[in-house]
Amino acid sequence: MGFKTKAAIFLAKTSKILMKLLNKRATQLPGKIAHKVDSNILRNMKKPLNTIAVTGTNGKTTTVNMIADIIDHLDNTYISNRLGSNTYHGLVSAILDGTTLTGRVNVDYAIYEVDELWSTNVLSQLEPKTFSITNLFQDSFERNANIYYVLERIKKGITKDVKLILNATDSISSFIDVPNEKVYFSVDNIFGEDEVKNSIVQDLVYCPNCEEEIVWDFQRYHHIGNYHCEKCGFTKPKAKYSAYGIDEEKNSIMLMEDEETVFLPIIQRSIETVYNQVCAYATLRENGFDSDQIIVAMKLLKIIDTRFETVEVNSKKIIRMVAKGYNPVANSRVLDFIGKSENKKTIIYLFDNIESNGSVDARTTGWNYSIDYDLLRDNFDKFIFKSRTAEDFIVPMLMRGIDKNKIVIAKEMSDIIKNIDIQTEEDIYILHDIEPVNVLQAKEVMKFIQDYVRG
Amino acid sequence: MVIEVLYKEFYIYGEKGNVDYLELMFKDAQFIHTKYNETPYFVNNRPDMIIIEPMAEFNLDRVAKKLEPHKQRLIELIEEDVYFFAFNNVLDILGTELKIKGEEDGFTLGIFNYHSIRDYDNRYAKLIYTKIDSHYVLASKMGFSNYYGNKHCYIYKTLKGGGFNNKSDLGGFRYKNSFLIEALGNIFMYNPYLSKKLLDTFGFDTKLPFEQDVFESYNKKISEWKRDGIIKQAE
Repeated sequence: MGFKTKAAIFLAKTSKILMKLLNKRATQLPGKIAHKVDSNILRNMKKPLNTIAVTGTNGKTTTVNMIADIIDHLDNTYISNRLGSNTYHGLVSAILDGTTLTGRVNVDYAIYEVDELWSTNVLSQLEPKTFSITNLFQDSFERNANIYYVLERIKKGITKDVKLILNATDSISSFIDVPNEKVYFSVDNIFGEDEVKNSIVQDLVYCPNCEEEIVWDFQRYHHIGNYHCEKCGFTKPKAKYSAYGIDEEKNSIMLMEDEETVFLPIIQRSIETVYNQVCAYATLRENGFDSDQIIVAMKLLKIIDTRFETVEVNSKKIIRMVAKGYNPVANSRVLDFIGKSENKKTIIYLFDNIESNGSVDARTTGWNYSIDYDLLRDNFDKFIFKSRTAEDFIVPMLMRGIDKNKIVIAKEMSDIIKNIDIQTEEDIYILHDIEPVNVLQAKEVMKFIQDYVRG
Repeated sequence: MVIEVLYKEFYIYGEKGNVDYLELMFKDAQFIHTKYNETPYFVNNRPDMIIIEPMAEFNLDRVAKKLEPHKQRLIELIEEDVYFFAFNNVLDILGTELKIKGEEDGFTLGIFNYHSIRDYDNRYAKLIYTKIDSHYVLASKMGFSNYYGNKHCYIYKTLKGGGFNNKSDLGGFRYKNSFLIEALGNIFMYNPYLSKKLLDTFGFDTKLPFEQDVFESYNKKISEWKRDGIIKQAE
């Protein structure tokens, strides 16, 4: 390790200590400082011997946290960018956590969440043993363009020795065209889900081998599920780890691993959480962890979900949920979740992050039309917008069959209250974007409604 | 009136919505949706309008090869003044040449006389606007590609955001009734005056679907864009 790298680590570590003393989050700045001193810091610094990397559009933060917590429960030391700082500086900052002032590594494991687009530049420098891809979906059009572009970026970052752990039910990312060793996981229809056909966003229509139209045996949503091509036989790859059922007595997910059933605890009854669990399990198994030990540690997992919060006040259940802005798939999934609930409900949609996202110029409208509003199944009383761009959402909603009489644009907080009947027993969903400022706003609205309902 | 929509199943960036709205606008027209594995309607018939919207570059390359056997027929129809609309990155495959930085040149149909440069390391996304018949037209631009060669056949001058390429304010490429627009953003849905003009051109009733809501969205957007300095107050 050269002098420049040592100096970079020393300065960045010192800044990290100072920031912690000042009670500041040190997820980015120390990485920036180190990078300033040594422009090749990520490549030059020493890393733990056992490195696990995870990417994907959805679920990567939760999966990384699960892996890190299990490794922790099993008495190993680790570093991780578990708060989600997943670009260059966030990764450097995470590695600094397991590095002494002199640059020596003092942890057993590194578990990294890697941004999909940054994979091209950073993956080879992280030197992972395994690289897991949770899934790929269309995300922010402005940044991520389209799913095939993202796949190409990831492909460029993959080095020859890394083992890939892929989601067999993701008909696009599972066929990443690299010669590496691949292991697959999958999740069958274990909760009796209804299929979601006719999504606006649909990235696999034709067989990538022979161009015949794909036949869906079970279409979970978008390009996820079980499928085959009648002409050439193209189909889902065989999964080594496959969640195939639920054992209600044991409150467990039945997972087939190489012809043997293992029982994973149910942490949350959502298909997304099961995907994350199965991906975490497969990743740990492929990194040499014992199945029984993983399961014991998995039972101790608690998902601290900053993206979901529920309170009950009198006749109301108020639910705060993230619906990531500019991400039509994430919004469709949230609306599907809400639409499936039989309870009476009002939905409040906050989307006021125009300034906070750093660029008013990125305020494009295409994502508004790509949301499957019809997944609400007309099963709600009011859809209340509190957003400077609320009017942009209206025509796309009307075009997907939403009744205009149910849509309200609230100019002020008091307009939200005016549309809530205090006597009615109902669920109130507050949907908001992902940035801290959005969470704060949503919490304020949540408190405002609680106070109103309490009288 | 017959409108042929080519390969809608591949459209991205919310542009399926643009076509869905067009279908509501031209409610008495016959829409033919040609899928990727089908022979285009225009090969054996004469539609009044053909439209194609942005798609992933991976699909765009496949579509170019799919259209290649029908290129001469497409040129023939364009020469016969059939309306042809293409948006955003579809322009990559319609010009004479597609340079891709760091890679081999892409395949193009060579129907129109301009060239394209695609740079996967330089993605851009921005809001743009112009004025047509004294009304604002609001749209956006995003992609990897820039286009060159519309100096004598541009359609509009953008007032912000750039045009055919990011260094030029001359936007669009027109040849006869072909309109190649590098912009996107559900243009028909969010620009009521432009949509009315289009309906009028074809002699249709100019009442728009969800007209009141479209105008509310349009007017609100103009005021927001002015408030944020995207549209200069003086314009």
